[in-house]
Amino acid sequence: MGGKRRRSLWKRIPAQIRTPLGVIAVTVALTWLVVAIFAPYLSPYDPVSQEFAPYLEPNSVNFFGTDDIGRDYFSRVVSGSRISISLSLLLVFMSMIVGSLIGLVAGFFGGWIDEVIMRLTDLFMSFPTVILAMIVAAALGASLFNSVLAALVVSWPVYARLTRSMVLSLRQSNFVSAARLMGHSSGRIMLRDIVPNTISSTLIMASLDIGTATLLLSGLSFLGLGAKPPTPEWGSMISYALHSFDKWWLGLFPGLAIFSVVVAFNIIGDLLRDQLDPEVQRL
Amino acid sequence: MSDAVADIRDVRAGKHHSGQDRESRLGNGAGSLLLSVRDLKVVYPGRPPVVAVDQVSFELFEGEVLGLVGESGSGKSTVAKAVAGLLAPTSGEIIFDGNSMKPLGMAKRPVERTGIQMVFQDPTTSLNPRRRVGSQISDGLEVAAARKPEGGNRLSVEKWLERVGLSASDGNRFPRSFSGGQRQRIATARALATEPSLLIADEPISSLDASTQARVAGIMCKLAAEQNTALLFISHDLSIVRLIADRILVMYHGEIVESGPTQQVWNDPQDGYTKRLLSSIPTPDGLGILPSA
Repeated sequence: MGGKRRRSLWKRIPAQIRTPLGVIAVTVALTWLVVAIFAPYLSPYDPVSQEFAPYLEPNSVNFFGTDDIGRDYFSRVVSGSRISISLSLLLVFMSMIVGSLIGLVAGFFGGWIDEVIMRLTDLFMSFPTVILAMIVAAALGASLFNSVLAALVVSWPVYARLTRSMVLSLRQSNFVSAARLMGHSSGRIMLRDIVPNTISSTLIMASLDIGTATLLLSGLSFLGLGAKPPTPEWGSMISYALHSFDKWWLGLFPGLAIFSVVVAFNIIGDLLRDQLDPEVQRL
Repeated sequence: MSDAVADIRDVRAGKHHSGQDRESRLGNGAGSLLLSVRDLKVVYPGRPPVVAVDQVSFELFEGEVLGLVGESGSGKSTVAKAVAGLLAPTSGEIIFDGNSMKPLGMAKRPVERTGIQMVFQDPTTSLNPRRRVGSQISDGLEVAAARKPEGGNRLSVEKWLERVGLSASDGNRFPRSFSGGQRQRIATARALATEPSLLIADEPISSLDASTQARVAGIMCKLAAEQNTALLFISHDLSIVRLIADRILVMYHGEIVESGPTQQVWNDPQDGYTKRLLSSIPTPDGLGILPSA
C-alpha cells in the first residue's frame, strides 16, 4: 500500500525531473532551501563574531577555514544562503508579479496601451542588464533592499513579454469569446480565463530565473552595491576575498555556493520548460 | 448514428415542442421576428482588403432553425461572428430582439443583450482548460438567472450534463478528459444554460467524426427546440443541415446566392453553386462512385 503510494507520488513528478540530472538538481536546490531556512541552527558559530585566529585554512573545527578577522567561514557561507537565496526568491517573485501584471494589461487591452507598455519594455530591455542595475542601485544608495529594487527594474520586462504573448493568443480563444458573450467583465475574464492559463509558463520562467537572480544580486553585492559588511552575503564575501587573493578558500566556498544554486535552478527550469511543450499540446 | 438521425427527425416533426406544430410557427409569419440582418458587409483590412461578406440580408424567427451553408471561405463564420458581436461589421445593421446590436468592446455586454450565445468550431478551445466543466456550465446558469430572474426553478449543472448525454459526476472533471464530441456537447450545455433566444452554432460538428457529428447536431437541435431557442446552424455539410434546418441560406464568395425552405432548396435548387454543393454530397450506395464535384 505504502509502496504503491510512493510510486504514484513519484509518477506525479514531471517526467523530465525524474531523470538523474533532474534528481541531482532538485536535491541540490532543496538542500540549499533547507540550509537557508535552518541557517541559524546549522551554523556552528556566530557568523559575525571574531572568535578564531585569522586566515585559518579549512580544518576539522572551521570546515571552510576563517577569514581575515577570524570569523568562521562555514557559518558565514551557511548564513549567507539565507540572504542570497531569500533575496533571489523575493526578486523573482516581485519581477513575476510586476512583469505579469504589466504584460496582462498590455496583451488584454491591446491598442495604444499595448504600444506604450511594450515600447517602455523595449527601452528597459535595450540596456545591458548589469549596467542598468548598477546605475539604479548606485542612484538609490547601497543596501540589500535597494539592490533588490535595482534588480527588479531590469528583471520584470522578460515576464511582461512572456505574459503578453500568451495573453494575445488566449484573448482570441473561443472560451474567452464565450465569456464575453455571457457578459463577463474584463476583470473577471482576466482572473478566471486568462491568468490561470498563463501561470504554469510563468512559474517555469521563474524557476529558470532564480539562478540568474542569485547571480545578479551577488554581482551587485560584489560591486559594493548590495550587502554591507559584516552581513554575510555570498557576492560581498567574494568581493572581500579579493583583498587576500592567496587565501583560496575565501573565494572558493561562496563561489561554489553561488555556482551550485545557479546551476541547480537553471537545470530545473530547463527541464520544466522541456516538460511544458507536450503539456501545452495536450491542452 | 441512426438514433441521432431519428432524434433530429423527431425534432423536425415538432415532437419536442409540447404538441405545437413546429412548421406552422416558422418563417411564415407565425413566429415573431428575432433577428434581422440588413446589408451586412465585412471587409478585412489588408493589401488588398478582403471583402468577406457583402450585402448579406436575412431574417430569423423565434424558435426557427436556420442553416447557413457554403464552402470554406464563403463568409459563414464571419456572418456568425458579426451577428454575435465578436467582430464589427464594416457596414449594415443587425437588429436583435428589436435592438441594434453593438459589437463587443472592452466593456462588458449588458445582461439584457446576452440572449445570443455561440458554440464554436474548435472543440479544443471551446472550453477553458483550467476550469472544471461544471463550473463553466454554472456560468451559463448565472447568466440565465441574471437575465430572467423570474425564470423559476432552473436545471442544475448535473441535469444539464445529463441532458447532453454525460454523467452528473462529469462536472468535476477538466475539459482535457473529454473527447471532441463531448466537449462540443458541454459547450452546448453552457450556451443553452443561459436560456438564449438565439444560439449560433459555428460549424460545431466539422471537426468531429461522422457518427459524432449527427449526435452533437441532434442534441443541439433537440435542446434548442425544447426551450424555443432559435438556431443559426452553420456548416459546409448540407446533408446534416438538411436534417436540422427549417430554412437554408447558401453562401458563396461572401454573398447569399440562394435561400428558401429546406425541402425546396434540397429538391429544387435554383443556383448553380447550390446544385454543385448538392451533387458533391457522397452517396453511401456501395457503388463506389465519387461525388461529381
